[in-house]
Amino acid sequence: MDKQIIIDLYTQYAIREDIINAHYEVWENIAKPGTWFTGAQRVAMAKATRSAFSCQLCAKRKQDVSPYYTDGTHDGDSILDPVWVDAIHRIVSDPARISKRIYDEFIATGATDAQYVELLSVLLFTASIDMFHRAVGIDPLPFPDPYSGEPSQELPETITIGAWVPVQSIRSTFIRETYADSGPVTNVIRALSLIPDAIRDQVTLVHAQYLPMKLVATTAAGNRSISRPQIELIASRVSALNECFY
Amino acid sequence: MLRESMTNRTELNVESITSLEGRGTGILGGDAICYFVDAVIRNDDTLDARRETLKNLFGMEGLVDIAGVIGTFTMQTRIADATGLPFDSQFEMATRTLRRRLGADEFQSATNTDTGGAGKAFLSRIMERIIPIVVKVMAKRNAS
Repeated sequence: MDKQIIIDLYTQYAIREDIINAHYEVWENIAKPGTWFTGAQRVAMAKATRSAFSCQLCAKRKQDVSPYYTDGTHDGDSILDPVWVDAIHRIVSDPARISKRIYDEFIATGATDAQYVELLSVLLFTASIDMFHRAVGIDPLPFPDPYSGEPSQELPETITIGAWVPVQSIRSTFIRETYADSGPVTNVIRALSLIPDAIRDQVTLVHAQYLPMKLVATTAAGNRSISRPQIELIASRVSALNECFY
Repeated sequence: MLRESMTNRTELNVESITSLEGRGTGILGGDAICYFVDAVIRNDDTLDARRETLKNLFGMEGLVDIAGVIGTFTMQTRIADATGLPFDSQFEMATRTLRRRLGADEFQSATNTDTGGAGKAFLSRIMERIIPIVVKVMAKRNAS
């Protein structure tokens, strides 16, 4: 996608340059071949993510006592396996009732834990940027055209910390270099480390949209125009609405 | 929020974070922020009006900063819950009282974290006394 599209759109709303650069970089990366998926598959994941926010089946399921009570077809066509589409829609639309069944059903299609993390990362970055747009009051970004090329199939060494997916050790070279200037390396900032490129994009978004990593474990607000208590109130309220224990 | 609950000079109403109404947070502009966050997450028909209120309170620059935090935590919460991530042990032990006040232990995703054991309970009691002191020292350093 032409970067000028984002620049022209964002500057109308006084959006900071670092957010322009971060969104452009992450949005373009979605369209590039990933670690286990092609650019076309990754863009399809982004499209399924956006569809989930307004999906009729998801809206019905959210009202059900059990999230697995109603069968049906999700809104939007997709080239992806229907089970993968279902995983995306459930994680996007009903975060309070995410359960291991979603992960288990994804793996049962013959996919791997690394593929789950990559699918999740595309979903997360799309949802994050789309939610930013909704909050500011601007239309979502157009989807980028997929790049050609093959996935890199990079598989790092990992350990188990009790999550559904393995992660890289805090002593791994990648984690130490990525978070060299940060405070403690918490589980949430290495949860996607089975896909190192996903961690890079996560850090890019956190840095521009929330705070630079070196400030996260402090009480400082950096150069933001709102105070740190206000920042943490927003973070806590979003977490509470999504019923996130973490 | 743990940090803010320990360092804010005004009395924070942490329960307001998980209450349906989100009133009386004790943070400047906090009620308007909560109403706005609710409208964004639910995408309801109050969103445009809530956004205008925030623009008047914080300006466009403030709205962008608020939107950034919403976008970030839309991502971070799902990272944790969709990977079955356990809460880091040191933070789990340091936040037991706060979580009880918030009702967060009742969330489904709480099952991803092991909170049992007498040893952890003992350490938790110590940490919940020490950490506020550490955070206040950090805040003073930032302020100076």
